[in-house]
Amino acid sequence: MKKIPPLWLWVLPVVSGLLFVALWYGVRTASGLQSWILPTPMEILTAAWQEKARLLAAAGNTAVGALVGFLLAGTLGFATSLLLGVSRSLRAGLYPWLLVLQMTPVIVLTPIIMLWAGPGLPGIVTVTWLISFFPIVANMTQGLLSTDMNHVALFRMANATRVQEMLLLRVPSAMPYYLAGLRIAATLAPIGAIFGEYMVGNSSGGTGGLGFLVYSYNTQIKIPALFATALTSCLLGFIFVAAVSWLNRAVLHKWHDSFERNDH
Amino acid sequence: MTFRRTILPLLLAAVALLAGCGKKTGTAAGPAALVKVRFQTDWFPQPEHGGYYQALAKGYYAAEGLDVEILPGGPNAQVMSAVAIGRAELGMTNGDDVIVAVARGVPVKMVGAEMQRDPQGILFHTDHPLRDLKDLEGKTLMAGAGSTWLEVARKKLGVKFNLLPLVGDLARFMNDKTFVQQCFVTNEPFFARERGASVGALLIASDSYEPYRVMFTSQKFLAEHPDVVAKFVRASVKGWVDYLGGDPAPANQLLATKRNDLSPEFMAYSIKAMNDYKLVSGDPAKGEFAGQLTAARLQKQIALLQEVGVLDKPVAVGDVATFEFIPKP
Repeated sequence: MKKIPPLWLWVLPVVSGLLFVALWYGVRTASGLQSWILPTPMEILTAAWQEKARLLAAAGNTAVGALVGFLLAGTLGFATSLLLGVSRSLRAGLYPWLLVLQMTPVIVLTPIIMLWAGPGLPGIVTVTWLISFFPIVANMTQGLLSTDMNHVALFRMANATRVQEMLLLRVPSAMPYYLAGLRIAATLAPIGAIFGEYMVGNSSGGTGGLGFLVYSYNTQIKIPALFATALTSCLLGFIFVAAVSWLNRAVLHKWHDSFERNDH
Repeated sequence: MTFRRTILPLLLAAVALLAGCGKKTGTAAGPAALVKVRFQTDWFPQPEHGGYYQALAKGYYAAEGLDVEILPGGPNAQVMSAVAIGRAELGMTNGDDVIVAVARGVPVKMVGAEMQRDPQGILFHTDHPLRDLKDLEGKTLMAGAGSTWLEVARKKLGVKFNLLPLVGDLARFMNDKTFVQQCFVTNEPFFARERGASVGALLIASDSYEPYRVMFTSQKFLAEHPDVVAKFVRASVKGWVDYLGGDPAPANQLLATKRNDLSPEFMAYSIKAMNDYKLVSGDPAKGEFAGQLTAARLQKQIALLQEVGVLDKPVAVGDVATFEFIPKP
């Protein structure tokens, strides 16, 4: 494949973005649709500015739900993977049930989550956790099992205990896998939190989260503000992914191949 | 089985972690004389809950010795389960829901009416008006798929119409002048008019179908604390009468702190609609008054629910409601 000049990496997305916006204006003008059916990008930005206090507060609430759910998934996912990685029979006994958990659509579980965890933040966190837990477990478990067999042999020759083998060899070598799982979870957590707010949320704190605003703007036919909510949700997702990418770099850049290559 | 083995323990762990950081500790700090009561509402705080907020803001509950917390609802609020399992002492919902729940063995009971008629309505463009349910003949209607009144219109009135599932926004309605859509008469008409549409709303409740909106509690709480129930119903009805007949500002200010997206104009519209349709006060010519439940009307409603197949077995009026707490007008 031909190499793209570095400048073009910046120019091309801008060009495609401008084309898209032009097409957007074109469709709006040609169709004669009203603002509450297809708002223009400018109307959306204006709505975002007018509603900024509400959007920011809601994004803050959503971020709390997403972060708590994400951290819970990160820690419980780590612990669960250790269990699965430590013994073949535990893995055989538990993994099918984890699959059952993952295969069950969260939307079916929402009434049950509502009943057990309760409305508001506990329910939202449970939904977020359910959505982001599995990719972490799947990746981390795979990582624990993918340790270089030469290293394992070396540890065994030195009479390392199983605990030592797990903590000093398998866990560090599984870090890239764990972080890959976390990155997937980071894209899912804000989506999970907004979905949770939409399904089991309330207007707690006087503003609710972004999921609550979807109800509010939709019933009040404030469609440009609804688009602005989508934009805000997207930004929140980027912040989560950026944070995990930073963590990924902080943990791996000293030793992992994926970073070494960039140095040459 | 799968829930027990995998989800439940993990969920419990998650909840336990959360409970540790989220719960307020100790009720000892509050005034010792007040009895704590949690009241579960069915949706996000809104003027259709205004009477309770008025009773709270004006101290009617406190005057009865109650420390009432109004729990906001939302999608999947599950008011019925919240009250049945004791997450809330009392709740509010459509009267039909209580009748159906009791028939399915859920231990709850109505203790007073919130509204004499449910605010469910049908939103229409004034160019194509609806005068009664029979005008739905041949129309395309967007409505909650399981709604009882649909069965009443079909089976009892013999009306034929196309049904689309309700998705909660007005986009299609705004675009099509012949379209009709289920609504709350206290809600959607305001927003449709705000966007320039000329609309009306037909209240679904009529002589042939009259669902109450009710306050209800669990049979356990009712047996153990009838005095608390009596006080709650008395103060709530007083709050409703004051909210709709007096100055609604105390409740509206409280509502605005619970959610900041309701405009004063909308709240004023909603209050006016509740008064125009006599939702809370009822029709004095029929001897109705705020808070009233009558055995005769409930009996008629039970028979209707059975006739259209919503109830598969009969229930006794005495099992779904008690009338001893209804305050005199």
